[in-house]
Amino acid sequence: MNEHLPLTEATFFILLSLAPGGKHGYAIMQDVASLSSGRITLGTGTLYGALKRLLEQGWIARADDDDSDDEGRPRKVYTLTDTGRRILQAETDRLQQVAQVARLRLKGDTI
Amino acid sequence: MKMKMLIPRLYWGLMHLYPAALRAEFAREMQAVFETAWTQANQRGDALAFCARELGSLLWEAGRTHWVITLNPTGPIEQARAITRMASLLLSLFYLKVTLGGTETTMLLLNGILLAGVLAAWRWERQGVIVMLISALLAGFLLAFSLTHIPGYPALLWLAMIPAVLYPLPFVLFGGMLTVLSRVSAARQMA
Repeated sequence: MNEHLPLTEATFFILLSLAPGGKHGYAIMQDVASLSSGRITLGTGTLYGALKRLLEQGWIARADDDDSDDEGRPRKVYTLTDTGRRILQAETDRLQQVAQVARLRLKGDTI
Repeated sequence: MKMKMLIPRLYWGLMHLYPAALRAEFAREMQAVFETAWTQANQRGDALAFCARELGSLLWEAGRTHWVITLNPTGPIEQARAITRMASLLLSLFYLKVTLGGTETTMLLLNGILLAGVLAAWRWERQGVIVMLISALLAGFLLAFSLTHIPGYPALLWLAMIPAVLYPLPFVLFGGMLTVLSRVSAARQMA
């Protein structure tokens, strides 16, 4: 699991965006911008490039959605797989550990 | 109003830069997402920044995808294709670098077109190879012409023919290789 870490920020936020449940491409794009406080704005090409890689790695899955979009086009919904969730959890733990060490150092503690 | 409709069409056209397999899988979905995001960007009034970001994102991902496919060939034909592409890219970059320091602008332009042909051949093989061959041959002729017209030196045509032939020769070979490999690959797919 650890050989995949650290994740890029975009990958981390995409996985995090899918953690509560499945989403469409545009919803992921909006959620990533929101989660990163507007710091990361994914272009369509970047988003789908990342989604393709995550699908190939088996971290996310893709399925047809019953609902179509406003134009009547069929949509796909992306969901986190068990592997993807484990990777996300591992990265979150790693970040938490890094933050904890940094806080201690800033308080003047030596580790 | 026209612009609002033109940009999504332009985006659809630019998506042809992606490899065909990726386009077949994701293009419709990407187009739908782009159109939604484009409408939102227009409402927010940041259409220009949106277009710049999307263009950069598309070009980067298209280039990256082609690069990944080249570096991970699936069979002997794809391996040979990848080696030919890499060799032609490196040599065309070398030609361009050599002429960048000189004063011969026509040669620089031809080498620029040569590099563009090499890059285009990644996606549109036949057209790219034609551009690559024409620019390499023209550069060879230009080299021969300039060598036979040096003031104060006799026109040694036969001597000038050596660089004129050697200069485009690797690209004639690369072009031939890519054409043959493309036909073999197409024949295998048909079979």
